[in-house]
Amino acid sequence: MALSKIDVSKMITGVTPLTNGGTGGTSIPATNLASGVTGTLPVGSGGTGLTSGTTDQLLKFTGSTTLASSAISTGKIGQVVFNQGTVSGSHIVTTSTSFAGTGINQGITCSATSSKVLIEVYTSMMASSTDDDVRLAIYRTAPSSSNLSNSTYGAGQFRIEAGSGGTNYSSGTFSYIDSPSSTVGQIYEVYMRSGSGAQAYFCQVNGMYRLTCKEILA
Amino acid sequence: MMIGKELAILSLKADAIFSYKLNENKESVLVWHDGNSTNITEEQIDTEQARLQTIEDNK
Repeated sequence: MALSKIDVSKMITGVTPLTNGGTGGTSIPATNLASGVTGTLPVGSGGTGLTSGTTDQLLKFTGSTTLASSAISTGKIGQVVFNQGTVSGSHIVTTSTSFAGTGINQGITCSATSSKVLIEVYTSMMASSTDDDVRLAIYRTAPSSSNLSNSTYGAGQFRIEAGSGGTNYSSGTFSYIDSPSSTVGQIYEVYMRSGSGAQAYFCQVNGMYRLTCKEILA
Repeated sequence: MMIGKELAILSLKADAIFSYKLNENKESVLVWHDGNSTNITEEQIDTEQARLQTIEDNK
């Protein structure tokens, strides 16, 4: 009689050894991934190919099939400081054709020498019928004093036209990026000058001004 | 039109070189760049500002 079918669940006891094509057990033991696996799973097989990474860094493809820890390389804002207020008493104005301080300044201390400082100025400008163009510059007044912008035209030049006998008003903004390469505190101040000696207005009385310094991390 | 102090100074001395800036207390202060050779006083500026404002208001 030919043996055509064996009921394995009823007719066989014990285990089939590995050498006979079995598992050598009655169940398949779980593998402890922490201690039972060596080596790394390559990127091509869905792994990272890594055994460790660097704290606070991101995982980045450094090649088509390689990953590595990488510092964040995109710029980001490290801090924002500003000097904001409203002018009272008199317009902030000059008749000088040399740059003169507005008194509006702001200090910032960068956290790294690789940082840049984005300086933004907002002001409430005005014009009268007899005035001049106003040229605005950014000076670094500490730790040493120097004009960071063009010596003649500054970093922003404004001319608001007013009708005969009248006045006109406008918001004015400009910006400048400095690279102090230092973690020593820097103080920036807005300077102003007249184009040719008539009165040149930086900010009208009762108008708002704002000098903002932002540290841009490398 | 409001007459500012700068217009009063220029009325007293047309070629005056000066600035109004903010001080550390955020108050506007007058700074002379030409030494104020004619010794213009704050009182003279205020008086001239008032005179010019009257003229402006009566236009």
